[in-house]
Amino acid sequence: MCSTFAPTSLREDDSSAAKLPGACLLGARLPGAQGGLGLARRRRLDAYTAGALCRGESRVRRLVRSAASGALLVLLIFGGCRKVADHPLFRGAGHQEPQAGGTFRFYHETNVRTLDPHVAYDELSIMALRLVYEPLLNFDADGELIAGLAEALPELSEDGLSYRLRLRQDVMFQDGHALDAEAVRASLYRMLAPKTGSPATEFFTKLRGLAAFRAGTSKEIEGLVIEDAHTLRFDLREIDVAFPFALGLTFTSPIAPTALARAAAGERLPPLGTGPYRLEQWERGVALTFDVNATYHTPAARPERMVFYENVPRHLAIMRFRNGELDVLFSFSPADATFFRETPSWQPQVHENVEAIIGGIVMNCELPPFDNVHVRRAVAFALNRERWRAARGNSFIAWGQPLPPMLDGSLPPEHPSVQRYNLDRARAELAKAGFPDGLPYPIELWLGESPGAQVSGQFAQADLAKIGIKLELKPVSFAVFIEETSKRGRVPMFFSAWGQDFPDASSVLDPLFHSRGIESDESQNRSFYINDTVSRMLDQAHLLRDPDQREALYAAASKIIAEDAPWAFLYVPLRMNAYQPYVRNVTHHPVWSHPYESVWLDLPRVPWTQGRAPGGAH
Amino acid sequence: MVEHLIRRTAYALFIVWASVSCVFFLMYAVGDPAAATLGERASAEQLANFRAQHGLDRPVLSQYLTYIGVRPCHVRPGYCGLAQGHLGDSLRLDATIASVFAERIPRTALLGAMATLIEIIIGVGLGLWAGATRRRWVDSSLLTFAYLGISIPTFVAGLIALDQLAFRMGLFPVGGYGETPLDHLKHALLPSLVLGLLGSATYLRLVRSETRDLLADEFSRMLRSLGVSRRRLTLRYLPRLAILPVITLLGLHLPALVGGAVITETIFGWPGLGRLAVEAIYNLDAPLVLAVVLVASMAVQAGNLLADMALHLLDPRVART
Repeated sequence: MCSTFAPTSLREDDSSAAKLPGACLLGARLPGAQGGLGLARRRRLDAYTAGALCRGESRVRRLVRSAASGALLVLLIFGGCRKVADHPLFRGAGHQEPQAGGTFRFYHETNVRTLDPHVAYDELSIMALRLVYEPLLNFDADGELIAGLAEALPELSEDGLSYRLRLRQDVMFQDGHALDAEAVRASLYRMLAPKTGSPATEFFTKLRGLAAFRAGTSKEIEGLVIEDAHTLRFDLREIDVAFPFALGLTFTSPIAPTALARAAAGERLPPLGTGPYRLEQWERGVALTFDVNATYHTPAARPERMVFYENVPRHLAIMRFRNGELDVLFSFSPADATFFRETPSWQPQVHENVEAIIGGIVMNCELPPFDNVHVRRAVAFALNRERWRAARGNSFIAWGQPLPPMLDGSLPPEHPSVQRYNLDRARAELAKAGFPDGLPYPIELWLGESPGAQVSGQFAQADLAKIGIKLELKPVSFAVFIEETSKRGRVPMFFSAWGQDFPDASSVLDPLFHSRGIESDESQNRSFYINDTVSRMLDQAHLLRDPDQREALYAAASKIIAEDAPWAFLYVPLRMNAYQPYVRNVTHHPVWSHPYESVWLDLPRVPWTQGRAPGGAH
Repeated sequence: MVEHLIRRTAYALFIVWASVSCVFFLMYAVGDPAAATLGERASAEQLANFRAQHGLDRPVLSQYLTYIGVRPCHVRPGYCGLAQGHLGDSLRLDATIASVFAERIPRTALLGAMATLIEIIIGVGLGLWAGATRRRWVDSSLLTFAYLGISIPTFVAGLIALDQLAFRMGLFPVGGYGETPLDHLKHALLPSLVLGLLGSATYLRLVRSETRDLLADEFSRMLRSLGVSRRRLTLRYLPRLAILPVITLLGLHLPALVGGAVITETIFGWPGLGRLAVEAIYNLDAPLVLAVVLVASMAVQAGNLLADMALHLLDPRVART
């Protein structure tokens, strides 16, 4: 109906439309002498001419305008490229004595899973837990076992089957209760109960009566005895000199009786321990705030508050650290690592330490061709670990044996049994296996999800191609990776890494290379390596009280494992941390990745540019 | 209208049930949640305990019926499935899914709402301008902006914005969520600006093309001939018609408000639902993934339904059909 009322002069086919106001809006054509041109070209020309006349501008002006718009866009995008200071923004006030007060801010890239010390087994949760809880024993900076909540290290009975632990009498829980043997026993009972589902039970399997307790046939654990109000005794079924190490794990942290009662009533476990901090607030996914515990048994100058930010991805962490919003940084891209290592003002703030983790390529000893030891050795000799190290920004040290360097029983790097790059030996071993021209079929190398795994897979592909082994990379999801690699006869070859639970060789060798670790579906020994001599040696080491004899036995087992090559051992990672200059008493800990309990802050922080530039000593 | 609503709601419920059921069975086909949760260090005994504790040792069909709420619960007396309003417990996080959602959904909704507001204001405003302008350079510039918005991935724009505007120039906080409500708004500003500016490109193109069509329409010419000024025509009469397709698009956009902008949340360290969902998928936290699917599919259905209703209210022609 509208068109009925539309004046004819405004219709599109009206050749005089362009002379009328508003005609440009309607895309009207101008009259003109374009006869002879094709219809499409004529329409384009019409449109252009109409537009140009309507705007009354020339082509040159249009170009100038476009150039100006482009320049504006470039300015907008790059105008903000301001240089950022390549030094810390703040330094400390210069105190030499530890100072109390301030807020220490640290972070992690994902979410804290739980604050239940009996369940937590991941780095992230343990970072938070260690502020609130304390285990019965602890480890010092050299990895030696020390008394934590105990007065001293446990006393071993003459028969080697009992450990007596005397608790400190000056320790209070954060709910006001005093720590005593009854509270510790109640806490350990909860930890060992099947309902709790604690991963700790595997460390206590030799505790007398535990099996009956877990099976439900006994309500008591026979081997867990209260001798007096502050003394506990652990009775074992058989000698195990590594047992005290288990008492140093966070799992053994006593939980306040009121918290245990609330958990028993079906509530979530409130985080109440004996640690130096108490949880003030937890906004899940955002941050946990801890306030200093005024009743802590060992007073020291500490930050008044700790804030643990969750969900801070690496790129944000670096920006926030350099802006002075975070006090510690531990996740670096290769470029960032180089920046912090090579910038003079940051160098003193960077700490690098070897971690007690061993990484490598696992070969399934039950599947061909890796059921042949010579093929496994060929793989171990063909991998150029130093080239990998250089390519990965020196983020690890090349390491060709099962035990990391800080553990007793690790072989000296020059030991002949240590796996190292040697192409001639690799080819010779492959020839001994009956494949002088290389393997006639490709092998699947399974990879986890991380981009790093893909790069490592490509390195392995390139190295093994030199001796005639063709690898096919198979990236799978984490869930599938975990499930399939632990099953018998499924995965021929995959990348893996293993970290110690406590600083003892048994923590690495037992789960990875003892034949007891093999199950049909859920193996921890995922190379399915069976060597009765090695298994016997590992069992025997648990009985030896003489540390030197134990070390020699573990060294002998390491030698055999390195030569049998169920893994092509590759690296021990370096952990890099950078701290703000005002963060003091930073220590490296061989067991705990983020030991922040002992730091203090040299406050007030002073802008870097004021006064002298500090040395940044910790 | 009422009959239409009832029909649409029934259909929506069917779709939600079908989505959740499909994902339920897919999750169990992908791998073992116990192994994924406990990791490679878990012993066979631990895995068995974990499965028993979470009912994962029962046949899948039995687990499904419990999850839906038509079989008794395995962890507490009575029924405890979707039919009873229980979303279950996360396998990985020591929390109920309801409590996790209560924290995460408002954060994601805040980011989504701010981004949508920016998208609409900028997209519709610039779209009208581009569609109505007689200046070709304005139109070209706006179209260039639109194409840039569509072409630049969020992770590129987000990282540039973070680096330049937050880290170097200090105009915004460097990611995160902040502590107080005002702080949350401040922290949400940059991610929602990035999301909003990039997202507005779609609206801009849509509204521009709609405006052009409407201007060429006879009713516009009639209004102009009756003396309605060009400005009045553009600002008063056209928007009501030009935003009709925007409403449909908004309806489809609603799930993003709830489901979260995964990439943006990751880049800006925004602790919302999208990022949590990705982590849940990686860790095979089946109950959490299922709950996210449930909420997202409900949001899709609600969005479509709301868009339908809005069109009914705003456009009498739709109501008549």
